[in-house]
Amino acid sequence: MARVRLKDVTKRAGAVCPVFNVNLEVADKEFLTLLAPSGSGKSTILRMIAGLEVPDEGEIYIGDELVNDLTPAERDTAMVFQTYALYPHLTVKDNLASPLKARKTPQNEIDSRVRDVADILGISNLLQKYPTQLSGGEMQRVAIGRAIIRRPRVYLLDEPLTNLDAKLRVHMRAELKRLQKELGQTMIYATHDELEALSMSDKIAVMGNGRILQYGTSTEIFEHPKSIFVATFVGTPTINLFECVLSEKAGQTYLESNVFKLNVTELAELIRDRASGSEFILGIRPSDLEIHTEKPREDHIQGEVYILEPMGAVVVIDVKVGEELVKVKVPGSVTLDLGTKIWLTFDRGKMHVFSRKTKEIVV
Amino acid sequence: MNRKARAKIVKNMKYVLIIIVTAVWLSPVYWLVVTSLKTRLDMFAIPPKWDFQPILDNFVDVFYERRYGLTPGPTEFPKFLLNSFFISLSSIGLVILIGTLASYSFSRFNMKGKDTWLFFVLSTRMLPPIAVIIPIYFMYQRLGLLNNYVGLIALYIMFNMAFAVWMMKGFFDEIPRELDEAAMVDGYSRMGAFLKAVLPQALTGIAATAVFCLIMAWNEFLFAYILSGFDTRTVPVALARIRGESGINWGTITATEVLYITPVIIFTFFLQKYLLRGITFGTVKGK
Amino acid sequence: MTVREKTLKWVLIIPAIVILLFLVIYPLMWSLGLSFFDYSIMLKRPPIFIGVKNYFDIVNDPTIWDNFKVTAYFLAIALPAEFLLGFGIALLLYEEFRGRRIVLTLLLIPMMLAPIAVGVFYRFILDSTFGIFTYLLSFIGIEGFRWYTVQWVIPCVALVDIWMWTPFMVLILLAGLTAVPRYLYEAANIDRAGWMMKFRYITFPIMKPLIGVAVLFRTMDIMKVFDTVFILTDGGPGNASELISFRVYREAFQYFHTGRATALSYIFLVMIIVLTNIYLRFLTRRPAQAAITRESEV
Repeated sequence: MARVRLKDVTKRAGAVCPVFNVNLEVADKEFLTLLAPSGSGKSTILRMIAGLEVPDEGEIYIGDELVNDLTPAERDTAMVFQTYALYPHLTVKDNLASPLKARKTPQNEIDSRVRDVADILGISNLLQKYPTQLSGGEMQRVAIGRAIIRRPRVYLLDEPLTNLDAKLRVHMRAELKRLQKELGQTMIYATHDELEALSMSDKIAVMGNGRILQYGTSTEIFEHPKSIFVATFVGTPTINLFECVLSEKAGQTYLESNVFKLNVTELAELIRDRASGSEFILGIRPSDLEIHTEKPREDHIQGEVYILEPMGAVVVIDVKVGEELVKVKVPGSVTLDLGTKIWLTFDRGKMHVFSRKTKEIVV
Repeated sequence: MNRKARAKIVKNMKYVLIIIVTAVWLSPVYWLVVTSLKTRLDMFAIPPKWDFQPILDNFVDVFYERRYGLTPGPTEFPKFLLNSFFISLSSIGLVILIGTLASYSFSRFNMKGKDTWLFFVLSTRMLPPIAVIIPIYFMYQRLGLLNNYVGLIALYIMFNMAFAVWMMKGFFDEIPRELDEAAMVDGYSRMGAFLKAVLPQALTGIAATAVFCLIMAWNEFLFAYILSGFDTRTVPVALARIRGESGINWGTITATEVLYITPVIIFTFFLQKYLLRGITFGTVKGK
Repeated sequence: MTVREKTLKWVLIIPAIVILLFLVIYPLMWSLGLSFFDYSIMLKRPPIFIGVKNYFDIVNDPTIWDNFKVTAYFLAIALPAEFLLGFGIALLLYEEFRGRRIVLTLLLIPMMLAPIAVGVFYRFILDSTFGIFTYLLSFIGIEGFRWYTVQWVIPCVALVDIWMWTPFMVLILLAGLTAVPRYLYEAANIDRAGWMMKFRYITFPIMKPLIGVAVLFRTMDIMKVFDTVFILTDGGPGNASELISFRVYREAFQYFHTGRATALSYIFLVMIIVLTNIYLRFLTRRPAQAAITRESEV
């Protein structure tokens, strides 16, 4: 049980995916997810915490101890690998026992702990089997078991669910979260799947190209993305983006694009303060758009129904606006004919204005 | 169904051809075995005798000499055989030990000039023994290592090292690094991880390499010929002493050869899959 | 990588490298040095420095050129024979059939036998009086075949090498053949291509790297042949089968021209090193090679 802190950690040389100036703090008992597309360095960070790689610069603390010079064995962490990395020549029982054997735990204690862990994870019937005889889900549970059997200070999970089929993945998501709360341990989780990140974590750190781009709770990341990258990375279907220009007319300020004109006078000062230039990108999430079959009074965007994608509980409608397609998420009960003219409105509070130049949030 | 019938005929012809080729190819070996079971009379009969009474006298002669005019006694062959065993087994044991460590390091770690080192190690395999033997002969002479087990064993270690390292590196490369890492996170040191997680996986590969090297040491001639004396003589050297002799005792010779190649043939059957890989330095992996 | 690991990785390699340094590099350096001296183990005097005279003598020695010719002749017979026979047999074994494994294993045997033992026994087989080979030849009209003649000695030594090493070609070429993706042939069949076209445009181009590997490797090995010549012909009759490697042996251990022998061995060594370099470069840098390795199944 410990908190983990990374201070200005950089690794360039020899790492497949380098990381730069990473500053991260994980509180005790917290579930943090490193969310990033493949190759952004999230594995590198986990491995540096575990001690499998050494940072070129910066410091890593586990608890309050500086661990840069400690071997993996000395750091008291546990890791669940994406490929599970179970020992093929050992039975499940021996795989689970391995961390305890390595630390010379007495045999009877090993036996009882193995039994307990197997019970918790529901793999008691597999103890005599070998990894090659197990299914993906079973192997994964053994890998998790091997990690938790020791009650280490920190758990590190490197995309553990990626190799499972979809249904199992959804199930394990809940299982892992429950496990973490029960064990009361600090967990650092790496994934490229935003759904996993959003549903499981206390905090998320979004990464790109080796840097931490945004850090916060799921809600913060989703509702207040700091950059276009974060906004597009998190959220399915992807956020709608419109290029627009700031303009003034008769004392009113507008955000104009070829398909809409929004009066943003009350935000004008804010916008001018925070960004230079007049080119912006407006982002609206599909779930924040409303559909009207009649022309509404407030600011709106006009278009026609192009494609309907029914997905059970919701329907995603692709609306042809000008030359582009805007995605809108509506309840599954809505039915519309193709080609119907519709109007889209949205809550002002949910719009995201990004500077075209810096790709970062303005409002 | 003319096409089907034709295909079947072709297939059968192929079978016949394969059997013929295999039989022809192995006929020298067959003839060797057969000759070793013949009497002197039968051996030299023209036309060659296919139908004969097999005897084991030649094999007995290998071990127990019935010297004309002298009292019969055991031959030197057991000594030579023991020498072959001893030198091959000890040198290969050491090669495997040293080679495994080195190849593990090459597999897992990066170091300055790694490719150069590997290139260097591999190129020693390509050396013509004759180029090395001359200076080594003088070296050994000065160090008193001629006709000496240590000298021969050291040399055999040398010429098998490259092959062993190269083969075993290939085997280690196939074991995912994550196994090492899982073991280290579990609490083992780097060497502990090697012993507990990686080595058990690599055992078949190491065994195959060992047998392959054993065969090469077993068959080696030039170094043994130049550097061994009577005490350390191996069987290949003993065989070669028929050179320049008139009146070669073919019975004993063929029997000796049969004895000497039998273990090799047995091992060949066990190693079939790995031999392909070893011969081609891992470029071609058998199923 | 911790500090501890930094030292560990070197510690693990050091024993292997040390052995190679002592028993390869050091002797070779010594040998190179000696090649600039006039020295003979027989004469009880210390070596005299003569610079490159040894090399000069060698180049001007017509018998040395004979050795090169003999070696080239040997290569010219053995290599094409091994390749063509190997390819033919590989084609024969290309399709799966019951007992294929056994046949391949049986074919491996000649390669695994001690060359010296094989040489010994081929003396028996080739003997002009009682050898079975001679007897069989009489069936095709060649009476009283005598192998130990200037005319036939190299072809017969080549025969031994071919016998031992054709299976090597078979294995490599078979691996290459099976690595060619079948769908390419199927597409060609749909296009009604004949077997010759299929070979020219599909099989051969894909197999080129592997063929290169095989040919280079055998060339290097053939040049190093020693044991067989030693026991079968002793370089004779005269020097009709005196390969370069055997000549080095003779200079060093029969005539005791030690200085000269080391010079010749160095020339020989350089030749082999050049070939080795080409071979290893071939091995490690061809992307097609990697593709074949991935797909190879024998």
